[in-house]
Amino acid sequence: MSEPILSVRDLSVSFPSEYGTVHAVQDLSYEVHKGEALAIVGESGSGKSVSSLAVMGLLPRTASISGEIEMLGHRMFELDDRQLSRLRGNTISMVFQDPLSALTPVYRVGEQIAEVVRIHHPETSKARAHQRAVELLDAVGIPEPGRRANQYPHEFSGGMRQRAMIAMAIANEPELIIADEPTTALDVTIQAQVMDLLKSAQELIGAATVLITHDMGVVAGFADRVLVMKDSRMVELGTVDEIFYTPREQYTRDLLAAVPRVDAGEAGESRSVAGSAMQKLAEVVDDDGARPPREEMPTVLEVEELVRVFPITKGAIVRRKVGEQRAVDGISFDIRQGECLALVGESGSGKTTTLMEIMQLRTPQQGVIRIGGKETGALTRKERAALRSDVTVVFQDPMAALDPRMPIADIIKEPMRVQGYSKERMDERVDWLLKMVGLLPEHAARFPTEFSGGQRQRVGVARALACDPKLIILDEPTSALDVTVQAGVLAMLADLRARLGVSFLFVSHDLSVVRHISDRIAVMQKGRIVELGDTEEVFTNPQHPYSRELLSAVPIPDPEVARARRRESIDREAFEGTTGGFLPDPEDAE
Amino acid sequence: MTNPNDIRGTEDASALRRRTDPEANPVMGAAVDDPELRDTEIDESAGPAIESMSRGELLRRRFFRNPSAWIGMVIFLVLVLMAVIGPMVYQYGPFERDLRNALTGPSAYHWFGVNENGLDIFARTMQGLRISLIIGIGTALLTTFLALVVGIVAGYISHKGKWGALGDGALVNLINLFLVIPSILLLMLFSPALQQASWLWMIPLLAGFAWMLTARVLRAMTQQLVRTEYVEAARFMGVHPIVTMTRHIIPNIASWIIIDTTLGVSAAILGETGLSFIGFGIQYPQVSLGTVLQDYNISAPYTWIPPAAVLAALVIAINLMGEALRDALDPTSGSSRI
Repeated sequence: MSEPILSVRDLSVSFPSEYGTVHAVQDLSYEVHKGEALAIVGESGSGKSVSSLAVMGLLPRTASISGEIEMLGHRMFELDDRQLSRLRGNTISMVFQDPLSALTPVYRVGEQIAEVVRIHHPETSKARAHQRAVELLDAVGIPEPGRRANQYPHEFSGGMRQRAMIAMAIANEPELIIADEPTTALDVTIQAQVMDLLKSAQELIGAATVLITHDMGVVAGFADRVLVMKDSRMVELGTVDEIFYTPREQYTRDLLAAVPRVDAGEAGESRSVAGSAMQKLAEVVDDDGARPPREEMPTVLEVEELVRVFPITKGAIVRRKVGEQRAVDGISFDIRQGECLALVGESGSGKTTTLMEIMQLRTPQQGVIRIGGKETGALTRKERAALRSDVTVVFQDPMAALDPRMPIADIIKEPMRVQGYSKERMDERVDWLLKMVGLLPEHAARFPTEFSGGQRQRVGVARALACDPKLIILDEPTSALDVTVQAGVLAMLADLRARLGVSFLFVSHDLSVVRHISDRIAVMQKGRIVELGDTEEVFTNPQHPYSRELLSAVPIPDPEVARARRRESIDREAFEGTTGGFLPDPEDAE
Repeated sequence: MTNPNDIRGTEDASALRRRTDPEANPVMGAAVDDPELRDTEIDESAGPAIESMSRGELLRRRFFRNPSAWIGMVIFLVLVLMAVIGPMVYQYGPFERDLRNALTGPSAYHWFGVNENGLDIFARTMQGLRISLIIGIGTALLTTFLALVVGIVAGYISHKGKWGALGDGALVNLINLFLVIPSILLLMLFSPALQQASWLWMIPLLAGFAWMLTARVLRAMTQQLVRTEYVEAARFMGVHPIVTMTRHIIPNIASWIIIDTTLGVSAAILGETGLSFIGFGIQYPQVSLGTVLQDYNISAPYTWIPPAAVLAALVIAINLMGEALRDALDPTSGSSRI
């Protein structure tokens, strides 16, 4: 094999903190060769980001580092900041997770790309650098690159910003690209496009790539080799096929097994370990005995022709309406007892607005919402207060959904206190609820900060269950959780439904998660439900083109399948530009 | 903790678990035996785990680790003890004249000396310290209360539809009104008149012109909190707004309120002494540090150095404590790093 571009040997990083030293990375060693894509995979807190910041030399001053990082013969720790700056952007470049904060909001996108070119090639004229920026934007597939180059980052969508970041990263044909969770903030269809782009950009300039991610699906289609990290240490390093088909370590196997798969139906044909556990979850959900047909079950929630329009106003003193945004545009669905309906769509499709309209328990702008047969508009104050216990909600972010200043017993008691439960009954129920969601009753006196993300989400579910609700609205309940924790929470939810007969409205952007838990799926796009049907039908035979697009964009944690799906998406001609060999020879660049 | 037996023991073991063999299927087992739950279990055997330190303990450590907290507390305690005990044991009162010794320096009988009117400066300084402390602390507490009510109500209702926004607008304009009126002139106008009734009127008067900035900050903080999911969750549970404010919002901004109140004490003391110095503050038969300073004689330093030093020490002590408190409660604010 060729000389390694980057080699990391025995890297350890630790930070001092209030609670003693935190070891972020311990004894990490790896090499990246020319043209190779290495994926570093791990759950949050496994040290994957810290290790890449160390490579860039971007760690905070308080960090103590040992070990060695060698990059094209340079020992990174022996370089001063000025020498490092020369390397950054020219031989190493980085694509960050959040493209909005990685681009400076007060400069035009074109200027920022031109700046990267000019910093490392000061001899380039301003006009030439701008022209180069336009070419690069064209290469990464941004329409009307000439006009777009003169726009500011806020005028770009999330996907376009990430494309611009990639354009910036490949501007100087670096030897190494580090991509830190490049698609985590993006919708699934955009994620697919960006990953394809990144892959083809990498192949085009022949750079080595380090991809840092928590998403096994993304890894399968991108990486040549995979490094699995856990608790600041390396667990396993192997080629992508080895990791996915014959993992050696138990942790790798657990991690893969917990990955939800959108192609669950045909998984028997796949050699990948991924998704085996989630598979069983789906089976449990599907055949929990002979349930009466859905038409015979009582209706819990009924939404008819719901419309929510937000006016777009202008002017500070005299507000005048200049337009309207139809966030929810005439949707209808119903949920029967014990059923789980998944509402799926990308950001901005109106999922959250729908949910808020239901939770308000008020008269909607247009249409009707019925809960247990009662129209929400016609409720008296008292009935509305009582109904609050029937419909509860679990939020997306388990960190934000629990008051950090209250012990969890008080958090769980809060809805019961509103409904006027007696003190003994509340204490009794808190114990029962904590057991129900897999926590210990002894935990009741602890504060939310003492729990991990998955445990907090369990507390959130316990609070939602407190007053025997008929319907729980789950707003992306697992999207902030690590994949193994997600599997645990999903299994708990499936279990609760089977045991308590409560209905779920499961709002999610992730089709693969939904596949394992829901009975029926409603696909939303631009405020409308474009497809509504049984989970199995929607997945095997999607009717609407948008559903098909969504399905095909979901990454599949099986390297063979993922490779077969990849498409070329960088414009080679545009990248080479009008002058072709614009960039100076490598010798000049040194 | 969450081992399968916990739930399997109950009658209603689910279909899920009955069909799942934890051995063959580790993650399914994780539904009940979540590896992550097991890892982070906070047991005593784990040694000094991150969670083992309670918030109170952490705050106390951070506070007492800071030398400026110690210096501030010691100076403040000494001053308070002096203000309490001094007038009790000292032989002269603040208005007892000893004209024979007028304008003489410190001696065994008159510890800080006597001013040109024959009044004992130590007696007056201690009495003034008492009054200044009471007014400072009282004003800070009242200011915080006013700011809390206006700020939290404005911040909370600003998201509640059209009428809420209207009420919020009215309160914000009230704040702005109080900010633009010349408070010093109004204080000079009202203070002597209200002093006729009681010197304690100084407290509401000073507080009435000091709450606005705090209220604005509290309003902004409340607006942020109202958007958090736990406040939203409380709304969806049907919790009464006032309960939400006292249970969810105030505890979460309490650290800032405590810091602001502490620093407000020194600001109030400075305001009161300033007014008293120019003759519009505390009037006879009371003395404050400001009125003691008023009787200065520039050629006899002992007439003004002791009260000025006491005043400076008091304000510095309170500020040192406030800064240390801020560093303990809000270590990310970075106020200590210049």
